[in-house]
Amino acid sequence: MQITRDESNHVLKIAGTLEIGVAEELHRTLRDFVSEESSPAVNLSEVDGCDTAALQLLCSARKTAEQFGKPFRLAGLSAAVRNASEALGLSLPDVTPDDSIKTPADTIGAATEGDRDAI
Amino acid sequence: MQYNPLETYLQEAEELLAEIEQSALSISAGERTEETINQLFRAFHTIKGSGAICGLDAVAGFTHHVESLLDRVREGAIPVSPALAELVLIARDHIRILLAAEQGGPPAPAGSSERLIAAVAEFANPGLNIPEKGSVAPTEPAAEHPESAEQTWRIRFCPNPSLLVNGGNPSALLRELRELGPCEITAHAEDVPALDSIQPDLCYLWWTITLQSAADQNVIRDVFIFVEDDSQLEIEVTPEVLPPVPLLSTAAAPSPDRPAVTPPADHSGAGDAPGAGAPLAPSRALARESTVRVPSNRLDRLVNLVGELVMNQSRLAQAASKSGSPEFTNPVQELERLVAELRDNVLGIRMLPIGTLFGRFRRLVHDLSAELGKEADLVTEGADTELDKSILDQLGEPLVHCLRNCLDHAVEPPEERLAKGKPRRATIRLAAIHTGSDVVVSIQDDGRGIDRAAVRARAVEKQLIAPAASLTDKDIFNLILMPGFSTARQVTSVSGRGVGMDAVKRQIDALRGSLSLASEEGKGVRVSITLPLTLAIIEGLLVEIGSDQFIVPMAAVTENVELLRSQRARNNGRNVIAVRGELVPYIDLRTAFRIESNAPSIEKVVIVQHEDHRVGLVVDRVLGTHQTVIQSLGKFLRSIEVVSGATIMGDGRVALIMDVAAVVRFAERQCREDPADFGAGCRATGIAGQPWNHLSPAGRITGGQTAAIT
Repeated sequence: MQITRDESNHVLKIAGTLEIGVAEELHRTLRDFVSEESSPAVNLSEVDGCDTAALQLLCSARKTAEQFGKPFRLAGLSAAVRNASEALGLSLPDVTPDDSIKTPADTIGAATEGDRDAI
Repeated sequence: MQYNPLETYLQEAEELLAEIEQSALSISAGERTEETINQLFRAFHTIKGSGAICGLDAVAGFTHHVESLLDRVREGAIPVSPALAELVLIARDHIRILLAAEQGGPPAPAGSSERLIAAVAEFANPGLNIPEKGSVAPTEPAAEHPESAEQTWRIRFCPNPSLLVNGGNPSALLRELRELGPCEITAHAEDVPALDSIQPDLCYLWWTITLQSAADQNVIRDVFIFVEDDSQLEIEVTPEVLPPVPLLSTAAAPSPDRPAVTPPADHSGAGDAPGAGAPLAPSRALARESTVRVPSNRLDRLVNLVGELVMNQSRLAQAASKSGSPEFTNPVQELERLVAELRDNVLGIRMLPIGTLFGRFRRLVHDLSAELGKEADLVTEGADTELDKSILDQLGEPLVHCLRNCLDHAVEPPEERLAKGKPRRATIRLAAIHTGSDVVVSIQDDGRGIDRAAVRARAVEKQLIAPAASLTDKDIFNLILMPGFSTARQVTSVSGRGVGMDAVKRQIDALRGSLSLASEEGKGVRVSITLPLTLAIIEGLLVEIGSDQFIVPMAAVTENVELLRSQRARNNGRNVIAVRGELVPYIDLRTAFRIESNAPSIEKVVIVQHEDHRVGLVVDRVLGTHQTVIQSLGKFLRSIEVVSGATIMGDGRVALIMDVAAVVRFAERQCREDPADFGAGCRATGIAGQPWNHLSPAGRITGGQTAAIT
């Protein structure tokens, strides 16, 4: 599991395999991230494997953000995440409270727009 | 130690195969309960499922076919019959071969799996022309239940919170469920706590599933077979048939009514009491005792450590009593109590029910009686009787031998039994019972009994006894326990190879046990094996010769008497002592062990029971009883025949533990080989003149010959 935090656009990018062996680390990362960011977003576009424990943590992160009145977004879902949540019968709205699921293309597009604005 | 799932699986599979064998034999014996079939099914299902997880595809693939057959039996499509039991036993043996092959053993014969699969398929669908099956891929579930009507099942599954930690994978379960038919699966995340209180490795999700399938409830429940314990699982049929739903619905599922039962209990970790509020299968969860597998060498190490602790504690107690200070002696006494309790508990861990051993014999009797054209049932009693594991490990072979003898020699063919007015099927009773500090294992049959005349004739033929020797029943039975003695004229694959009851007796002797025979002609034989509960500790009598200390096992000691120098002189050097009118031969241990010191004027004779006779062991002093933790002598001293081990005394000295039977054998041998050196007395009377010598292993000295020497 690789984690990169982009302070500028409040996105936490998680890549690699998310499974119970890294659940502790993922838990700590998400807890710090959600408490510190006003509008936390998690980019899962490069996740190549995902188990029940990891999906449960994403549900928990969303619940935590809601408790603080923060919007929680999943900025990009890889096929692996989507398949894992479908296999569990975990409907995506459980993971994302609104329709702000962004595909990798959307995210890239938004980032490009941001960059352009900055320029 | 690193956790090895494959090793765990192999151990589990071994137990399951034993269980399968028992169930199949029960069916074969006419017991045809639904629960037996369910047990069989579950065992094969577990072997298949866990085998697939461990990557043992050959095992999983083969087992799948047997499981499918049993599923049809469960449905009632195939009747339960002895033929089914036979097929299950053959399949069980084949799985064993496949498992052994996975562990580096010889591979299964080429095509054997396929042939058996074809046989299983033929059994499942008699009359159908089964195509050659090269592949062992699972059949389509729909094809397994063609005749059942589809139903809609509502399933609520609240897993145990530790599901994920224990390696459970909800996705795999749900995938298996989907294979049964179209289903709508909804995960419920309401109970997932916020990040500050979540424990990331616990499972908080629970599921409701609507399944449309022709499978019956057992099949659905079997999907959850590995996780059912401690989980909440409700499966019920709903009246309405749902229209087919897309296999996976990512749309917001309609929120089902939350079940009335509280879902995943308490996630706080500490309060995960299984069965708390669980509506289903609580009895199974509660009934299964939690167990831990421990390698037996670790247990041996623990027992050795406790042994050393006991010995050190004993030295400490001696030092404390010498010091005379109550501040020292009181805590030492308390320590003594704790150490004794610890010792009993640790030895208790090694105790296993003898039923684990008995279980194997049902198959043996089943197979052997078929091979010999006889009919016999094995009835076991006292399977809960516990014995030390090390004894159990060494008891299997002697018991197998006794059972083989029983079936081959004692049990008559069915026609002969009927002609004698006996029931057609013989009954072999294998029982274990506690008697004091011993366990008596007995094997009793209702066969033809020991033919005394045949035994006698054989013994004369082999020159073991003089033709005119007068022998009691016991003497005759003891002949059977002599090396090379066999009345079987024909060598069968079962017995009559010359490795007879003497081998059994030796093994039992090595376990510090004893063996006796009783028989009533025409009515049967009873073999009784008396064994100590444990080999780790014995109650011993501490004796001294010169400055050396020895332990004589208390179980053999009957009494102690004094031996005055004047008494020795009166007997003209004959090593016998009169004990209440009975002449008891004795062995002068000082001479036998070549201990160079002077004997005191009053010696002690420890009278021990050896087989059916009393023998005295002459020592200088008897110091008292001593609970002895047996330490092995190590490989360099292992060949010392007369000693079974050693123990360390309170003062740090080593005392050797005498093996009474070996001491007597040793003395007998010395008598024969070197009578002059061993002492004139021995040659004249003591050992060689005793009745047991008629029957001694090398006993060419018959009663008449002995009399001549005397």
